[in-house]
Amino acid sequence: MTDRLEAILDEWLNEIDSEESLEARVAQQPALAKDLEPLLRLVLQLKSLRQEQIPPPAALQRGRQRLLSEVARLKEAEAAKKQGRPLLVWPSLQSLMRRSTVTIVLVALLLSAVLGVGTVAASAKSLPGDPLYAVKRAAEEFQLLITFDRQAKAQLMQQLDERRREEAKAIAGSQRIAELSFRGHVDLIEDAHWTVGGVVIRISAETVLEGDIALGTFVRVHVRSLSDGTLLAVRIAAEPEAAPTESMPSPTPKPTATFTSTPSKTPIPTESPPAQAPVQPPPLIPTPTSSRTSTPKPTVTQTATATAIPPTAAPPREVKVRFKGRIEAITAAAWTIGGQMVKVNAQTRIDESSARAAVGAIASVIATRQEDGSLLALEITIEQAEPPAEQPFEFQGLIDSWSSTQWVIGSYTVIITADTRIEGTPQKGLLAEVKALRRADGTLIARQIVIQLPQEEVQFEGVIQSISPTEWVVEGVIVRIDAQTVIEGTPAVGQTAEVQGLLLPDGAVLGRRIIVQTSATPTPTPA
Amino acid sequence: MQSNEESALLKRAREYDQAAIAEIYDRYSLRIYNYIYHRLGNAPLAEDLTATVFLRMLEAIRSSKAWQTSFSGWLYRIAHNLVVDHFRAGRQDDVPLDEWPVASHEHPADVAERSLTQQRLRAAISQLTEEQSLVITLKFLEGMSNAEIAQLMGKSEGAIKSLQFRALAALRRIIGGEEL
Repeated sequence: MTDRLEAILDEWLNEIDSEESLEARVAQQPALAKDLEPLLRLVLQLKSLRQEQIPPPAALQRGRQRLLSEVARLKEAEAAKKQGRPLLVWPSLQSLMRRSTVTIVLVALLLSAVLGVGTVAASAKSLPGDPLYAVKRAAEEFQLLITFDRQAKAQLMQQLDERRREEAKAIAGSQRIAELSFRGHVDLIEDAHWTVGGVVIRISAETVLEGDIALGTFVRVHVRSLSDGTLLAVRIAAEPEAAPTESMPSPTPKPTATFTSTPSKTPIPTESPPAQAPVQPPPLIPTPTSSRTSTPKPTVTQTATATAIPPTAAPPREVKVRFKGRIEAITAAAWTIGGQMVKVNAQTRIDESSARAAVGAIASVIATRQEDGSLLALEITIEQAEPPAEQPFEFQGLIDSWSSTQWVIGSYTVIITADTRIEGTPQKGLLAEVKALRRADGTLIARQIVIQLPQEEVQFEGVIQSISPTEWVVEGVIVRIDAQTVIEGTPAVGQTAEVQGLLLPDGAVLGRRIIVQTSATPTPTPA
Repeated sequence: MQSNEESALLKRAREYDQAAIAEIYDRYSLRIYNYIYHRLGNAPLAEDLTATVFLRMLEAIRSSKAWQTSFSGWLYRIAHNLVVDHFRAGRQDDVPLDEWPVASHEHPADVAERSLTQQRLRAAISQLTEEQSLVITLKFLEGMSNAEIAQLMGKSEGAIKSLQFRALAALRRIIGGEEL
């Protein structure tokens, strides 16, 4: 008996969508009514829950980021476990060494006597995450502590900064999981990727930015390396360039001539371009870090390194700045490059020997700062053409219009290509989920469009107020017509129609079936 | 039953491959969100619990307690358990009146009554067994066919028919025969 009831219930479930259909069905099989009617009424109640329109989720992207951060953390924990990596003792050593000269002596003894000279030497090539890395950092810190000459200390700090950057590159190159920090100048800012001191880092929505950061700002970067070789920036903080490593007070006054950290986001000053009379930098302290830098051409960091050391540097008469970035806008009077507006005039040399100047291309700029604070470009070199790189971009929105070449969905226009996969039939007002590629110029190429049909069914009756091939107005309600809409009878304005359809997110109804009732005295249809 | 493609994806996910886990999230998060929303009727809460479902997935993806046959079914079960926990903790706050969706043609009193009925029905579903609750939600709230539910839950269609009958009967008993 139960099997039979189950089978009949299942059959009826698909047929019953209203009180009327339920009563009609039960009337045909009165013998089963006692058992099944209460269950079928319950089903109608359950279906009413389904008809409730689901608000589009606003925070799923945040959940995705949270999940991926957790994945990175788990991977790192796993890698540490596999390597038998001890918990970092570095912070405790660091704080220990701050205390007194007596402690310094003790630490010196600890490093050389307990660990042995060989151990310290062996740690030199260690990287963050290696067991000997804490020894390497402790040895460096000790070296800083016993260096009392100001210039020598500054030079040592620059060497250590360079070493941290090399470590970051090595970690990224070996695709190891680690957390590390380094310092350097911001020398390139693109959408999701920055270059700091020659090290490429990735910026996410969760990256914390502290301080007034622009191209050329000296910053400390805390990154987490991922297994794909990406260095994901966790925190970027502006920092005075002359400041020593985190545990040390600054021994070097900031040279006013070569380094500005004014709120006007001044890029790094540098030497003059070859075409101009060079501004002679003050006598330089030899910097062995320069020869170790893998970047073949002089970088912003190196320049700043050379000019920032002498505490008595005299301000040059004309401060020249150099920066690099993506061209965001070009007008006759000014260009915007990497977020920085720079004026151009007849004397500005535009070097297009490598690539054509266009929005999206990468350019390096040498400019002078004018009295009013603006930048005037002396030379703009286009280094790299507009990249073909395309970024994935996903969004949801209501369909506004569509054609064979482009659709307008929400506030976006997407380009349709032969490769675009479209699931569902477009209709104005329907919700569409779009997976697209965003080109450098901002255009969106649709890869996939999934059209969501609304689930809430509506039925009403009213007077037809207007008629067009795609849209009617019935009793004040916009009823959209598509190829699936079944129209029974001959429609005319003024006649009564029964509309069955789906409630669209924008409040209109997608007509599925429209029954035009025959009127004894039809109203003439306007032309 | 899993496709080879999904099996490969899950194998990579077990190795904490970020791209694989991101793909899993993209593939299932909206469905899980819809499921939780139907159970709770509260969008911010559904978003929060959706994130929790995937964090739980990550915690358990290598465990022997993870899915045996259907990965998506396992995700739905995690979601179900979170919903039940939510109801057990007594956190099913009523939606404030001004947040109820009100169609222009509806009288506010009707809207209030409808919402109360829906909340009682949702609470009653959470008192069913895990399988009964899943089949009721997937069939009547998500609109899935018996075949789809059978695949998701790793059962035969006949078993699903029996399950939905028992689930409806149990739900009827929980409600106590009173008119909703």
